[in-house]
Amino acid sequence: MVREQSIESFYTRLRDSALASASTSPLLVFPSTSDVDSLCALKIIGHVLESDSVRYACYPVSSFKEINKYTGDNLGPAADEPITILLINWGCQRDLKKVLEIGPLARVFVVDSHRPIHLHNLSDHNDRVIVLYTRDDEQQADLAYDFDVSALANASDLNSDDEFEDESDSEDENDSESEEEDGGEMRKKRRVSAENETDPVKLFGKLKREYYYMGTFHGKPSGCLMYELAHFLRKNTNALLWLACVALTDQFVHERLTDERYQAGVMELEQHINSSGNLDSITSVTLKDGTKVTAPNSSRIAYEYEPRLMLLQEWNLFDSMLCSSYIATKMKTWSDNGIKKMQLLLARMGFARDECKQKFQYMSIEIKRSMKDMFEQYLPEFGLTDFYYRGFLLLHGYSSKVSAADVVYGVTALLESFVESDGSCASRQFGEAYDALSLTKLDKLETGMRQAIKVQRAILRQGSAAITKKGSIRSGSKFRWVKLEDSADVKLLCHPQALTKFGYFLMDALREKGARMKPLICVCYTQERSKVLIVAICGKPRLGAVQGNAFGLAFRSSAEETGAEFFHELFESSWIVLDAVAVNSFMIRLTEKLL
Amino acid sequence: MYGKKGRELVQEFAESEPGQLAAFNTDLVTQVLEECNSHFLHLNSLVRKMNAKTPAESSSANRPTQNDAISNNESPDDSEPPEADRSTNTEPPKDDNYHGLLIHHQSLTRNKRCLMAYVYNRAEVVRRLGWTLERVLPEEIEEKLSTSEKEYFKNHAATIQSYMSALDLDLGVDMVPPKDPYIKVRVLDDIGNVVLSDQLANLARHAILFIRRTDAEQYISQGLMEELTS
Repeated sequence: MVREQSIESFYTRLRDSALASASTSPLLVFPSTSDVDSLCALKIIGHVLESDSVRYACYPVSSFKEINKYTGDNLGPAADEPITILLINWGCQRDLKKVLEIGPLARVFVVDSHRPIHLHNLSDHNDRVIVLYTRDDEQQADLAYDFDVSALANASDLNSDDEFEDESDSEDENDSESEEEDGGEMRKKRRVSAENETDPVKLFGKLKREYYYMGTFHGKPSGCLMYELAHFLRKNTNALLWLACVALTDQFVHERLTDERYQAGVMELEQHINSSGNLDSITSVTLKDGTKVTAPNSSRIAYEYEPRLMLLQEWNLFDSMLCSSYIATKMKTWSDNGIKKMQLLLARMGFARDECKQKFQYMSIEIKRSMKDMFEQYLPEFGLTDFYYRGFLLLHGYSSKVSAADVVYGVTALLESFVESDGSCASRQFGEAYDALSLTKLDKLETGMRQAIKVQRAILRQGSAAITKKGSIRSGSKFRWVKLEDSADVKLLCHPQALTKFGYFLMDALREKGARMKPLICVCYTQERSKVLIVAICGKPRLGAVQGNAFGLAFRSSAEETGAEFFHELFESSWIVLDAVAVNSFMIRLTEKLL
Repeated sequence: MYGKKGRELVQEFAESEPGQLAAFNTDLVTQVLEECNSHFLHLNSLVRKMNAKTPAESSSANRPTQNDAISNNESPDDSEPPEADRSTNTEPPKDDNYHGLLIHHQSLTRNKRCLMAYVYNRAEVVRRLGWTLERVLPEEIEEKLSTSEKEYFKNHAATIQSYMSALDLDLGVDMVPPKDPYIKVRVLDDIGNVVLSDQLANLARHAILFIRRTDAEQYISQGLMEELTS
């Protein structure tokens, strides 16, 4: 069976399977190194497994085939011992049984927020792969299906070769594109005709195409799902709850969910925060002589309205305003005019310039207190109306206060700060990030935050250069694309999440210029210089959108047609690594495909 | 001043870091021993003088000398009873010789206590080393020990080893009892496929494992793994 709808029974099966194969091998856990959510999910499920004394071995991976390096032949059809593996935040988009060549004795459990899930993984006939996909998650997804996914999955033939990749010949491609253009109207018509369809094979084909061509999007954060599990098993702690908050914030910061779903997630977590004794925890103690002191060593989670300013705790107000994407793109802080405007804003709010350039921790307490009121009063004049959002804070001891968004920035920067030439690699950085997420190693988190500041400065430099220099953003009918060449900043931006942030920065800046919204493709040289990383960005998910990020299929077929070497095994289908010489022909083919 | 050297010796030990050894202070120890010898000579001559003065009380005057001889080998507390004896039984001969004798005697026993304290406390540190170190002493420690201390360490380590081999158990690990039979570790180097107590595991670099403590111990002590605490 493939689809497990309840988290508890998913875990029970995972544990039983792990214990059954424990005599030969520990449970093998493969978390994705690509996002913070996977790190949070790993830590939470790790805690649950540890309390059940299930032995495990965890190997961070950054692409599909990397897993074979660790499992050897134990996974394949030739293996003679049972083996249980758990994939965290990757894998469900591809036919795992085929891609990983899973033998009959192996059991693969998948917790993944990537959508759509490959139908073969969901099929009841495929008992080697078990995917956690709750009913709630299906119903509350950003993109809704108007058919039963389970039924569709069970109808699919496991041995068929008709994977969606193979289907993407030009005929189908054009078909789906026309569907896209006409939007909902056309879809409705299609559905009506589909219902009238008498031939079940044709109906199945149509629905399947609809399912895959919706493009990729994200479901509930894995960290939050795993927290629900810990909560159900009464193994939840405040530290795990904080990880769930970070997991949700990760999707928020990287624009992987709609505002509505973020709000729903926040409300759910706020309830957990309230019921875990974060409200009435002792924060002050009265001494014998009547003096009140703040109690040290109490760590609690709070939710508050947070400004959209990056890494404030580690930076200063001035630079954070200058560089944070939200303010920078609206005020164009890279131009002289923009800086003047920002200084005018600070002056009108009555914040002394010296104070604003002071490290935030040491900024005068009056400014800190009046910040929120002032910003809310004056920012609307500049067109910044939703500057504050509902976010989470972790308060620890006397002075440590860190927001979930800053943790996400810092930990992401750590995950993406490896330089292959110094021998550091993704799995090493995963270890660093793993440490940075624990509450006792704040120094590592600070390192990450400083790295994130460097990345953000590079985004501002490159973003403003691309906006102001004519011709650096090329525009096609279906998408725009931009290529980064500067070598110093390329080192910071040649990682998928950093490049995606750069893309969102550009999109926001273009929207301010009044340009029509189109997907954006960012191209950036990797550290080897002979290859480029290409990332497609479709804008922030909106409720009721018909399509997610549909570039995956087009990327693959265009890259195949160029004949150049490419690597499409990263965990987002809209990320691809390509030979640098083939970029132009790739773009031409992509344009043709999406006409 | 009598007894000053002995005090310096004890002070030197007391001022060093707990559990650490300073070099064995041979000079000072020799000086204290010399002082002891000179006290003993003084003592003997004084006793002889007193015996010559009051042959009638020889029986009681002889006693301190005998006791000195004993207290040289045994505990210094033994010097108490004879004094009490003397004050009750006989009229105390309170001349210069008597006071000199008392001072020399007290200084001698005090020096002895200091010497014993120095040697004993160092021996304790050496014994502790026997548990924490392998059988061989690192050079920087070895050069701080005296010959007899080295010998002591060697014998002590050998005793521990033979005890452990008789038990077939490494007593040197986990001196603090573990809370959990399992441990979370990070692998620091490529170790490769390894058979742990009952499982086959791939100990690749950067992997995080949750395994039996006993399986991890040898790798941790070799520096190939580190424990992860939450």
